Amino acid sequence: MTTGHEPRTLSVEDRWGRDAGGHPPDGLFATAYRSWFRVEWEGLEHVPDEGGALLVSNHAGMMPVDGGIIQHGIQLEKRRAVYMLAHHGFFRIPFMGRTLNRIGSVVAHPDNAHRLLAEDDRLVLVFPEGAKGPVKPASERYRLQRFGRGGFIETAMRADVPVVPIVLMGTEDSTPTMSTLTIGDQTMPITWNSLVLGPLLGAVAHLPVKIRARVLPPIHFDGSSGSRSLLMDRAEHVRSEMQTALDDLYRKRRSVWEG
Amino acid sequence: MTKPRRIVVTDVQLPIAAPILRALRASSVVEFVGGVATREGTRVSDECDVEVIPLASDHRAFVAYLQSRDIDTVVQCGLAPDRAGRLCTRTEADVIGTMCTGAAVGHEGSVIRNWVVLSSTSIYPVDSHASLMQREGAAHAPDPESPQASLVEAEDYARDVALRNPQINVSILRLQQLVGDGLRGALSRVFARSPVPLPIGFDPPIQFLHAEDAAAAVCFAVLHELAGVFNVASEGQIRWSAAARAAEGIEMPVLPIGASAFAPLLDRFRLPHLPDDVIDLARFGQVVDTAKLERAGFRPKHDQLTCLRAIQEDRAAEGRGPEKRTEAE
Repeated sequence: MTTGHEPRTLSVEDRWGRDAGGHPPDGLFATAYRSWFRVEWEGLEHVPDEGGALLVSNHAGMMPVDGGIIQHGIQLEKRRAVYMLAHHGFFRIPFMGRTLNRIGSVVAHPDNAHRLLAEDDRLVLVFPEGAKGPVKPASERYRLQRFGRGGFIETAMRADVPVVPIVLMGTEDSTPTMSTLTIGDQTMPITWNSLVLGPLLGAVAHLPVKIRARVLPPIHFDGSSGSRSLLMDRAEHVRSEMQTALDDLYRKRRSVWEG
Repeated sequence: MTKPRRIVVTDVQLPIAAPILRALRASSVVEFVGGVATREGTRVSDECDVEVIPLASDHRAFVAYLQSRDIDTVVQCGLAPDRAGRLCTRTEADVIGTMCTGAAVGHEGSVIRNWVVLSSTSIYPVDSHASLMQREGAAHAPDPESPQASLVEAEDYARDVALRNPQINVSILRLQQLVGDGLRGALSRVFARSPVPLPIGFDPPIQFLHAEDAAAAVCFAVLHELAGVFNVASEGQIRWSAAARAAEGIEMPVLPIGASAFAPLLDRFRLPHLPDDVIDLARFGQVVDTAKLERAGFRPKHDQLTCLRAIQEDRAAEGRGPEKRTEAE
């Protein structure tokens, strides 16, 4: 369902700037998804067939592919578009913001998230680790960082939608972070890939790791309480569920390349 | 039976007043429409009987005007787009004018039922971290030295008048980028040029408001006695590149940086550039959510394509005669 007041756009994109097809099924990313990362899913039945839901996942890498993997996989398997909330800094970079819009990324702003979830009944993907995910060292891969201030719980409660955790195994090995570089107030990861291949090629070239994605059962939170201490409790609950699932996938993994 | 309405429109020296006066005069329930120019010696509309009352110096003359003509509704145009800063080129919005109008509206013994304040969507931030569509209730804390800050102050004053005078319906209409009827906002000036500048690396969503829709929204607010803050824009939104194509000028990519220092030189060689006051709009765009006004029952007549057609028509008309200015100064 969309709101009756949705402004009409004058092109094939929707009002969020997303092209109708999102990641094209025959594009470069689709090929990498299928043949390079050989993505396998489990628990996809937990992704709602209709209505809004806030998808949360683990995050790592210099140019993380986790968002694209989830967007493309759910579009492919569930025929549902996933909108990803991205840091506003990306939208200041020429060509980057428009490209992100086209593949379904939206500036991470509470109003945008609420409108997508509550008015447009969309699936929205967020990475609660935020900027701490991509800069965590390889030695801490698959150890979830703090989930910020619990804003994603507040967003889900306000929109009255479930939180659907998704854990990815493999993505954090595709561009292992060896160190970080801080310029001003910006910290960037220095990955193994960029050390070997240089900053440009290393940013886009990912190791051919096997990626497994597991969707956990939806978690519904009662929206009647606005206490911030409850937000933190609930964020920690989601984080511990995801950490348990990540640990399980990690234990069962035979190798980085074969999964 | 509805009592016939007696209305005064202030700041009629601003071109936005002309379509509003026309629309109000066309309404069957409006018995009287007067105009007040707030600056001496300014060109005023010939749409109605106009008096010059410099509001900022003494509001008592305006109180006397309201009482002598038995006015029940005041439409204030002084904060309308462009006057409020053309998105940052002016230093402040008309706060004192708003305070004086508010003082007259809430004066002891006042019979005013409605005060419609035209404000501007330039009150909202234009930045990469702003939400895609701005809602009326969105919190914003502009730079205290900016024109947006004085808009916030003026609107706060109007809201305070509403709180102190519950018998008065105060509606604040935040108008989007105006086009049509010879009006030239910051953005329409850019799209009226040929070549139309295309900011390299950016293609943000933008939005216009046709002068006829603005006038119709004012009539709607008056006749339905609306209270509260409302965004006003013509139907839909459009990407910058699509707008440039629709404007049917020649398009030319330009760097999205201010070039005001070289503007005369660039203009001389007919090279496109982005004025400083639209740089952020050209990078990040701005769209407002008009759902609140639509829920109240208002539907705009124009969409973004007809807005762009209006720019073309104005451009063609300019070729035939002297340019109408947004602000008569």
